[in-house]
Amino acid sequence: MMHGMENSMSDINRRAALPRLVKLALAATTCTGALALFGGSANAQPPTTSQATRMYNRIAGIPPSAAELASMLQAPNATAAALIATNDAKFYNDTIRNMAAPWTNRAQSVFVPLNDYTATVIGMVQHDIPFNTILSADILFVGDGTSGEGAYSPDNNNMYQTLDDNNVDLSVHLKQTTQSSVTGIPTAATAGVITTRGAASAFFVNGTNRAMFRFTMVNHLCNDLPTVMDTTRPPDRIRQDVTRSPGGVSTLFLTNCVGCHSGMDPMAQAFSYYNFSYPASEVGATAWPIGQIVYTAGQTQPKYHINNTNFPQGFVTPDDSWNNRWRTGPNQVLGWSASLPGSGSGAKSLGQELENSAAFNTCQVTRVFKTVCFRAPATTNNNGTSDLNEINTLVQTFQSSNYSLRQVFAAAAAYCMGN
Amino acid sequence: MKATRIIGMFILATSLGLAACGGGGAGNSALPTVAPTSSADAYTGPAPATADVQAFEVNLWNNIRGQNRCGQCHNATTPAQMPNFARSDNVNLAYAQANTIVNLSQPSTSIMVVKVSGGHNCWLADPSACGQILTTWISNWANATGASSATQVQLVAPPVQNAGQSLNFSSTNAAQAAYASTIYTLTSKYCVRCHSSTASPANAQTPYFADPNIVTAYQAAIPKIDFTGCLPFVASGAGACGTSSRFYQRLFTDLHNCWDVCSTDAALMLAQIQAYAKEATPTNLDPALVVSKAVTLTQGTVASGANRYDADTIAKYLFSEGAGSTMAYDTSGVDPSADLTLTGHYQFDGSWGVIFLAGGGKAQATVQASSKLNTLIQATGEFSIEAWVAPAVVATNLSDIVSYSGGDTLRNVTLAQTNQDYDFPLRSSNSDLNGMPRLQTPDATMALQASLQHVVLTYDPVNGRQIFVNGVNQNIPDPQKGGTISNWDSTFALVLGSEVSGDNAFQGEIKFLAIHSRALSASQVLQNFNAGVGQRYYLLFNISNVPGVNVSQAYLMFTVSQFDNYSYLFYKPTFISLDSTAKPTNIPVSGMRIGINGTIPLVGQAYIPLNTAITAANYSATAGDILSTVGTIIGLENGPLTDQFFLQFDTLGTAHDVVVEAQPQPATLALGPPAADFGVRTFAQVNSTFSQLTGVPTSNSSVVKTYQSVQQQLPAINTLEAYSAANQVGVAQLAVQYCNQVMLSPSLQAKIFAGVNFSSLSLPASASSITGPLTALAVGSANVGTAQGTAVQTELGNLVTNLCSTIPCNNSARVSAVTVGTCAAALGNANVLID
Repeated sequence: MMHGMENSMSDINRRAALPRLVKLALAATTCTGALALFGGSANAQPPTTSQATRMYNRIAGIPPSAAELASMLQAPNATAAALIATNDAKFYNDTIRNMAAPWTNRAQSVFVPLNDYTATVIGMVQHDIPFNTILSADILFVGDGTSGEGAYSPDNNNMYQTLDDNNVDLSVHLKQTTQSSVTGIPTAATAGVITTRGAASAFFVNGTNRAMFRFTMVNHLCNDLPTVMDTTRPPDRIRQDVTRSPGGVSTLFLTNCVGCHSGMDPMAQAFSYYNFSYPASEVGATAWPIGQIVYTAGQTQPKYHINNTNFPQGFVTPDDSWNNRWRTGPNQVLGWSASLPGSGSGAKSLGQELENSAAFNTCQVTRVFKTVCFRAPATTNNNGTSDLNEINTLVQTFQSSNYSLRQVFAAAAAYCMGN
Repeated sequence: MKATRIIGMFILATSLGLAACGGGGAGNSALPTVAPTSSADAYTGPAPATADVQAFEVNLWNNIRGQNRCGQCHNATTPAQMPNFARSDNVNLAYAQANTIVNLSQPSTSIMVVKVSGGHNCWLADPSACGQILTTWISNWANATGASSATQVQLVAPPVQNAGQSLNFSSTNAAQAAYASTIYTLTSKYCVRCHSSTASPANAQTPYFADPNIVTAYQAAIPKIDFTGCLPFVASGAGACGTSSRFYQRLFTDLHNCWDVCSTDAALMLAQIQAYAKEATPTNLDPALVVSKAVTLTQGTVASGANRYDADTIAKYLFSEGAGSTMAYDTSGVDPSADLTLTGHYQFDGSWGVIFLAGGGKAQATVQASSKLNTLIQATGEFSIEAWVAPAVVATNLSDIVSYSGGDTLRNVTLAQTNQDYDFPLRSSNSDLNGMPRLQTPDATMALQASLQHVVLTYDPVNGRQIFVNGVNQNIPDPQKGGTISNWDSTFALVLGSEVSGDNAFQGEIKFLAIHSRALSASQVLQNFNAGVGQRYYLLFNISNVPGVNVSQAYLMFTVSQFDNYSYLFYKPTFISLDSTAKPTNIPVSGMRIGINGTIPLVGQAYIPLNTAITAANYSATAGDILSTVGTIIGLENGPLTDQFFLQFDTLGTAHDVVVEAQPQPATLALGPPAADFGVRTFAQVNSTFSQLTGVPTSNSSVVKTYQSVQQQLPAINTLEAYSAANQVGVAQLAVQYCNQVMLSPSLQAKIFAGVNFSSLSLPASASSITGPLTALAVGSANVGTAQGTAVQTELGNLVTNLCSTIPCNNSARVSAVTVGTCAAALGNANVLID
């Protein structure tokens, strides 16, 4: 980091509100009493100017103002200083938004319009809402109505597009609500970001709803299906649409297809009451700015029964009950919660199964690590040591802070603040 | 097949070892080895005494009494081989004899069929084809008399074999070598004049277990060897090992072509069989496991042939000929047989079917034989083409699957593929000679899938052309409706896999083809779709010996078929007793696995989650108790002739032994290699940083416009290695815009360039007036004057000098422009971009 903005910023106006900074700094001081236990000796001291500047740049994406820098230098330790940076609007408008945006589309592109999925992630991070409810809560963040964005509509993305177009500060103009109050989906059928319009338009649209499972695994457990292939799980819940003899060679099924489908299909069954419907005019589109999530309680969607002659002896989906077959076999290392049964009905309980796994925790903190350290955890870092212990420490931070991702950002930034 | 249909099919045999096991027949010692050649004369004997005799006459007797078929031997004259069911002098007497060797309720199990299928004087090169034709004729007889309405499957108990304690055949070279050094020493010497592909055409007789090609010989010999009783023999040196083998029985019991004294020859053969058995290694299974008895596929009860609608079938192909065959036989029983000759790139599927490979293959009938299609279809004016196909590719332009045509541009009718559509060109009074315009399934429906599909084309003048896929009418309006097909050409040929020219090659498998002289109704199409395809067996796994089952003749029955060349399909596990009086009482079943050849495969075990109980309430003597409706595939090992299956249970009855999986190693995070801990700002960070440094808000309309146009050109990830020249161009454009906005805003200009009067600024003389503030912007004011800051300021000064030397900075507009350029250079350099 060569940019020494700490002195040059004295004559540049900043939007940050000092009273709020003080409040956060105090909160940080309280929190980091525990965090310091895990932060290592470097974190026990206030950061140097260079370290503070780097942390601010990594968290907010911009250099700190003089006032912010001064606050950070006065913090009791590096993590507390880093928490000050999380108050910057750019942390939410840029860093968090662009971390979450790829989760909302199949191409995993960051260049997509703001939507309710992304906004909900931003809101949850900003307000320290336990991030381990992101796949199960009845939660939604919408515009506060002060920027001309109109009301939330379940059948279009206009509200968020307007917020985007008007360059509205999302750290100020988002407010929390519930999905059930605006989408008509029963509370019991809401499942955090899974049942947002943004996710539904990407992963419940067309197809067989397996995309929702796959991309949830990719985005929130950091495991794409090839990494969790296990051909030894029972194939009894694999639907009829999966041919057992692709191209006339059933060996392919036995060595490849079954590895993912035997675990995925019993869990993707949780989504069997969901669909994303859109007007006929949108058939063939690749993105669906109009159209809405559909939930048919007690009635499996027709998409669960398409191509049922591919293997008539396959599984016929009767309801939305799901079962985690990966609780045994090699994938038990994903660390499923012992306090959950490993089976249930519907997306909410499946979301809880996923978000309470060790893999979920590791995934989230590793992603934060990469965001603020600009690199993946390595066998050997600049100090000549492994980053593995730090990842474990960050997981503990995540858990002890009631799953505040913001706290993880601060702790990770402190770890990577340099010497 | 629906569950309720299986129910109606079972009449459980309480007397085991039925006629299907008979095999030997009477008076076989003088069987001819020369295929008959002549046909039958007109019948002048007494009239059929009953309607059933007449049905026998029309459907079976007329087809078999000829000199080129059974009538050459089983006649009333010479040699008058008994049973003389093919005698031509008196149909009523023939009928009486025939009734001793047919099973009208299950034609495929008739002694006549089993005998011929096993190689007994088939008039074709493939005994199974003869068996299928005989089955068709007997079925037609049964249909005519109403016997088929009570189509029944008689479950036959398989031999009792312990799982993992029996010998298995292997396809390895070692197994072939063992055969070559034992049994083959006799067969290759004494049987080779007939049972070899190298025998003279007059004598050649399948199976070719004496063939000079040891691979061929070994495969043909496997069904003739029976290891029953061998394990005690191998272990203790005593027992009746091999005495159930046909190799032994043919000599010892049937006195079949002995080369010396039959008893001596039989003893020699038995010794060789026992020597071969010693070479085989028995598989070992953990004795603690709860397992059923073992069974092979061919020890199951045949379940196929039921419930198809075939009343108007005029050509039918099952493709059961197997590897090495160059023919696919028409088993419709309707003469002349339109047998297909295969050429090009193809292979037979062990589970029945012919696969046309890349490079093109073809199966074609002669024009003469094909002409029966024209003749019989012209008689009705309507037809159906029914096929089970599995296209291998879904991106192809016009591939002919089944065609009755004369060239690339002349045809009567074709079933073709265009990408994911089925095509149906048909010559009629409303088409051209190439059958155009063709009927085609709509693109959007993607009716053609790269999986096994049942496709039926039907035509009749009223409804026109219709295409059914998997039993569903695609409901495509036919503009040719109302036309006639009287303009068909009888000189065309039936061809599969490509056009007769070899063009328009199809890649994929055809597992079944039937041509009907009537348009099948929707219900008939559905009936045939539901009947399925391929040879299926009911495999009975004996569990009577398991503690706690307490039901006599208790079996777990699977419906099994060879799925393709690589696996078996198992489905619908059902508990059933062959004792019709038996009733189960709450037998717990859980954790069921399918074993093969003494091992339990890890993959495909769909019944591990099974956790239920067999109860009297769910059980009926005819339907059993169906434990699961899902199916699974289990990998093929040695082949359907020799693979031996068994079941293993975590719990069955009172027996309990849970398979415990090994625990995986704890997860460790995959760490990356050492990497730099710095990178570049990404697109939004660049925009926000420029905004912060210059004071120009990101919402500035000009900035927004530029940002939106270059957003995706800016860095998307932090990684320095990914930074490219294109990224830098985007950064420069955005930086220029921000700096331009600074120069357009007096207040922002004054904040950055405090005290500088641009209207009177002299460049490059006073360049430091702008390079100083810009250096502070780039590296921070604290670094101005340091070596780093000085280097940056010097470069910016050089830039001003260069710009002003190209075009003199002698007016305020030029000064402003140069300032913007210098500002952009300061913003867009590594000091700002690299974080």
